Order: sequence, then C-alpha cells, then structure tokens
Amino acid sequence: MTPLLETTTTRANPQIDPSLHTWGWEIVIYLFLGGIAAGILVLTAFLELTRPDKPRSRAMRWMPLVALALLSVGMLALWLDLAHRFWAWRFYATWKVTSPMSWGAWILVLLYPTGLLLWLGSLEDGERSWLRGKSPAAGKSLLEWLIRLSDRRRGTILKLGLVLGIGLGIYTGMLLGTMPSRLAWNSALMGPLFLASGISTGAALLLLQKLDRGEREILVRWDALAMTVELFLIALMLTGWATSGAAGRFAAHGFLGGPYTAVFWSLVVILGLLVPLAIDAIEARRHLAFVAIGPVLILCGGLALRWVLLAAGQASAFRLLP
Amino acid sequence: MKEVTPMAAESRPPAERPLWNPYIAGVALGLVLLASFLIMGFGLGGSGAVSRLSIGAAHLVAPKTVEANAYFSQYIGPGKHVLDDWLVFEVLGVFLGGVLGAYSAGRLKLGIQKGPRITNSKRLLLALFGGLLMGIAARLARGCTSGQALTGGAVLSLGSWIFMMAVFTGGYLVAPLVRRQWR
Repeated sequence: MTPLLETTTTRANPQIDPSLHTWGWEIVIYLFLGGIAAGILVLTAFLELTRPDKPRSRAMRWMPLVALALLSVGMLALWLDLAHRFWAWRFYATWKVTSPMSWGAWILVLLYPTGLLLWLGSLEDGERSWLRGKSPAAGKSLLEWLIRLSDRRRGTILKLGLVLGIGLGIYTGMLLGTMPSRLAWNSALMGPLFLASGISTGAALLLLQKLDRGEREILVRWDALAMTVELFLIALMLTGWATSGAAGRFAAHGFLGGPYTAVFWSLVVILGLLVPLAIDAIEARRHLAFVAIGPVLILCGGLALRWVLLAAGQASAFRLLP
Repeated sequence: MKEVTPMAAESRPPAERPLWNPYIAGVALGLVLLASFLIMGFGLGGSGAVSRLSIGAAHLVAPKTVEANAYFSQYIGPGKHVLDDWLVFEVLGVFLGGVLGAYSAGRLKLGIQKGPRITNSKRLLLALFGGLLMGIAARLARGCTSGQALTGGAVLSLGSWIFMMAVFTGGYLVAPLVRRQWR
C-alpha cells in the first residue's frame, strides 16, 4: 500500500475531513478585493492628508463606501470557504497576538466604522442633504451624530483609515507569509508585496472613475511607484528563495523554470506590471490621452498574482523536497 | 470643478504616427520569428491558441462531449491544461505588444475597419464567416499563415511552401468576389 493510499483510506481525504479542501477561488477573490479595499482607503486618506482640501471629484468622495462594499463581497467569499461557517464569530471572542488571522479579523471589524466615517466626512453639503432625505426617521439623530463626528475628528479618522488600510494590505499577504510549511509562501516580503499590489490595484480602480485632473495625475504617479516597488519586491523574494536552502530553492524553482513560470511571468509581471508601466511612460513622454487599458491590465495582474501565489503555495511542501 | 473621463483625460486629439513601411515590418517579423526559435525553441502561430481557447471553453460547457471527441480529447486529460501551451502565451504577447505599439503611435482606439459603404453588421458578419472558414481550414492544414507559412516556411518545410502558394492562389481567386465590399 502506498503512503498516499494509506493516508486517504484511513481518514485524510476531503470527504471525511473537509479541512483538507484546498483554498480555491474564494480565497483568491477575498485577497484580491481585500487588497483593492486597502489600496482605496490608503490612497483616499493619504491624498486628503497631503492636500489642503477635501476630495474634489464625486468618485473620490464615494470610493471609501465602494471599498467597504468590495470588502464585504470578499468577506462573503471567505465565509463561503469556511468548513464551519457558523463558528466564524469565535474569531471575535479571542485575541491572539501571534495569529495573523486574529489581526485580520479585528482589522476588518475596525475598518467598517472608519471607512464609513471617512466617506461621511468626504461628502459635500448637497450629498449629505440627499443622505438625510433617504435616512429613516429613527436613524436621523445617529446619522447627524456620525456626520458631526466625521467632521470634528477628520484628521484622526484619516490617519486611522491610513493605518488600517496599510494593516489590511499587509495582512492579506501575512496570512500566507506566516505559513512556513508552504514553501512558496514562506517569505517575510509577502506582506509588503500584497500591500504594494493592493495600492496599485486600488489606484487602478480609482483611475477608471471620473476624477479631477489633479487627483488623476497624483494617482498615476502613486500607481507607477507602487508597481515599481512591487517589481523590486518580487525580485527580492525570488532572489531570497534562490539563494537560501533547499526549501527556498524549491519555492523559487516554481517560478523560475517550474510549473508556475509561464503564468507568473506573463500574467503577473509582463501583463500586470511591465506593460502598464510602459503605457505610463509612453503617456508621459508623448503627452497622449489617458487610456483605460492600463488600469484594466493592472487589475488583471493583481488578480493573477494572488491566484498564482495561492496555487503555488498549496502545491509546495517539505515532503516534496528532493 | 472639472471632471474628466478615463477615456479622454486630455481634450487634444492624439498625434497619430504613420504606419510602418511594410517591408521593414516584414523583416522585423522575421527577426521576431528567429528570436522565438532561439529563446523558446518554438516558432510563431496563431490559430493553435484560438483552437485551444475554443476547446477550453467547450470543455467548461460540455465536458463529456469534449472528452469523447477523438480530436479534442488529446488536449484534455490528467496533468494537462488545455491553455498551458506556448502559443496561448505568445498570442497574449501579440495582444499586449499590439496595445503598446498602437498606443505609442497614437492609434489606440476602438473601431471597425471597413469600406465606406458597407454597414457595421454586414462587415462583422463577413469577418465572422471569413474567420470560421479560416479556422476550419487551419485545422485541416494543421496550421495557419503563421504556423505553416511563416514558421514552417522558415525551416524550409515542403508542405508549408505548398500551403503558402495555395494561400496566395486562393486569395487571388476569391478576392474579386469580395473586393467591392471595400469600395
């Protein structure tokens, strides 16, 4: 009897033990949408903190709310992946400082009120009047209190949005990076890489909206910076693996000649990073009109990064080492 | 307050650069083919990627039918992915290269290339018919103008040279029938 047969006939198969079910599209979507939400919160908060006035375009004012909606869709996907869905509340009955999932669960809870206040504080008077009109009578006093709070503590809320956005972005990568048993996730750079990717995909989604010209120019620059940082982090991660022990070399091989080489380099690096950077460079050099294909490619590349890394990590384990 | 759409952040029209000289473009394509042989160990192709994409899509909708088909089933199986092929990635690169080339020349825009009198729907229907005909023929000939004429021709394959002559002969014979659509 081969070890595999013995393992599966005794108990370890997904039919008997659902926890053996590997992470699929649900986690890819969760990490992707979580990254975009983190990027939007970081960028909208940072943009306002570094400029003297509130967001000028309607899209920038409403994007914190869109970020929360995207995050909710991502969390629904995460919830669908759980083996024991109705035990999810137990995350909030404990706090483990060494568990990235515990950090993530609490960051997600804190993000909702912060994002809501960030959005309310961005709204113009006309938009607030519209919101008051739509609010049920019972909730009017709560809405007024939240609007006053969002105005009075605007600086604190922006800084909190920035910190929580960075926390969420890093958490989506740390979730994978703290599992050394998965060789292709075992890198301290996974957190910063997912944060940089979250900022670039968040900027890409913002760039697909109608924006003020000044906002657009700043976002294009930050997007290019985030993509450049992402390229450096990918290079460092692969160099780190390739120059470490057998486990690292196994992880690096997956992307440097192994089964994930073609999809990683073509979809993540070329399609998602190099081509959008080249479009940015051509746009600046030739003063051409902005085209939506750059941000669309960045979003595709961000999704591919999570999909490829998630698959590569799950296909790597110490028992496969030569 | 001025908001601008993503598609037209600048109001001025892009300065279109002239198209490449076709002879220089032909030499460049030959060098791309040489580079493809040297770097990847394969030549260029086009219809193979479309064929794999079609089989992948069909397998999603009707897996049993695809697996029972003698021709399609060679692409499907344990340890195989229908899209895991050099041609699929090459065609993706063709698209990305086309985007960069068109954008740098100020020519990136959505449109239908057609004669002055033909309607959009008729032009698209004719293109679809031509594409279907070409796709079926490429499978019968085991390659298209890229895989057979360009790649096979470059390695002096007799079949590929006969294919190339047949393509030109067929093109010259049929062109008078559809030429008026471009007038």
